Amino acid sequence: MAFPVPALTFVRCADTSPSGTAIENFLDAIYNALSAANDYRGTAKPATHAWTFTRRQVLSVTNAITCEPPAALGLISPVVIIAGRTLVGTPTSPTMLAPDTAFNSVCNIGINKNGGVYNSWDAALPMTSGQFSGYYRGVYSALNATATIIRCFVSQETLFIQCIGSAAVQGWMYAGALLQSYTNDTSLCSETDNRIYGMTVSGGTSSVPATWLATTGSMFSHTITASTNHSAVFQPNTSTVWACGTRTVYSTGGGTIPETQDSSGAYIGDIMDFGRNIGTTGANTGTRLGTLRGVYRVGNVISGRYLRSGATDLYHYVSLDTSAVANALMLPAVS
Amino acid sequence: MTAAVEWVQAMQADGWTVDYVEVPDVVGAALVEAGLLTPEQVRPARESDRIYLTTTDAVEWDAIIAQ
Repeated sequence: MAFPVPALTFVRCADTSPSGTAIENFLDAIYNALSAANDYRGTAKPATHAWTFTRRQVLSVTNAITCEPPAALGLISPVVIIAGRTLVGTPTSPTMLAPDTAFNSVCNIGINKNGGVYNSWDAALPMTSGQFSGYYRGVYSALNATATIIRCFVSQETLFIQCIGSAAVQGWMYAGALLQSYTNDTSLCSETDNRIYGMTVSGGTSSVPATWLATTGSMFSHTITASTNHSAVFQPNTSTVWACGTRTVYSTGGGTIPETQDSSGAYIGDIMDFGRNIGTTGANTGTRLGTLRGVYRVGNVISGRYLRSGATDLYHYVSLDTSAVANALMLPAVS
Repeated sequence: MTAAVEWVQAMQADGWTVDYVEVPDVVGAALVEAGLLTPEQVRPARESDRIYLTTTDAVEWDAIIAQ
């Protein structure tokens, strides 16, 4: 077992929506949510969760957001980049992470570790130095709509972005210091800061599946087909990127099934163990990498619900449905 | 390698016509074997972990090959 890295807690940002249907409107909505001073209840976001979010524009058109976690954490300068452009091949094309291809008006997400100063989101090294993952298509362009709700959750070291197109049509992105390795080997098993960096997405042409808790190769796993759901992390201390994902799904899905609950009937908040993908959808049976940080599986919950003690948020719930119970995850809240 | 083959296939599905690709030998062989490209369309890799694709209208695209 590794010495534990800090437990992640999440600030839920206030909801935003794109002001139009262009990709820059979508990116602006994400930026507005992330960069707002207060959370969804109007409380000032804590300094421990104060990322540096920078909107990158060309001729006043947003084409990227660079997201840098608090410097006080002493991380290896990871920068999460959320980006896209109406004409993706003009003037240059961004470096993608295969199998995903660059496409017009799609919201992409990637990560540049050991980053320096900003260069350009579509440069080979967007942050000039370090190593870049390439971009996955994060969520599909049908979400570029004024009715879409952008709901962001910010932890000290990761970002979870929920894009709600309608009650049961959503795209999710999760990026940053995703995994905690199983040992303290900071050469082969984790970066020098004990983390493993990467991202997991629902993908460029698909909504999060309703039965993601019970579907092999679904959210938090890896599909080998382009533009669908993917997960990837950096091989520690290299520029190599590994496709990966959760090793397990439930047998029958979320809900009142024993797998998700303890003897009292409470959802346990199940961890996800990640392994390398071996080239087949959902087959994350390669080398074990670590446990997913901050995101815990539960059963069926209405998205947007929370568990509170008095006025204090304890957990935020995210699922595919904002009006009925659905396969869900829980994020520990900032207390 | 699966990811690289899938990427070229997806580029073609996106509507791009491939002039040539620059890839590691093993990836090039897989692309030819999959019937996606001819041997003449495969050139030596610039970088071991990236694939570069140039379309017939001279637009260059690239991707990192996830392992």
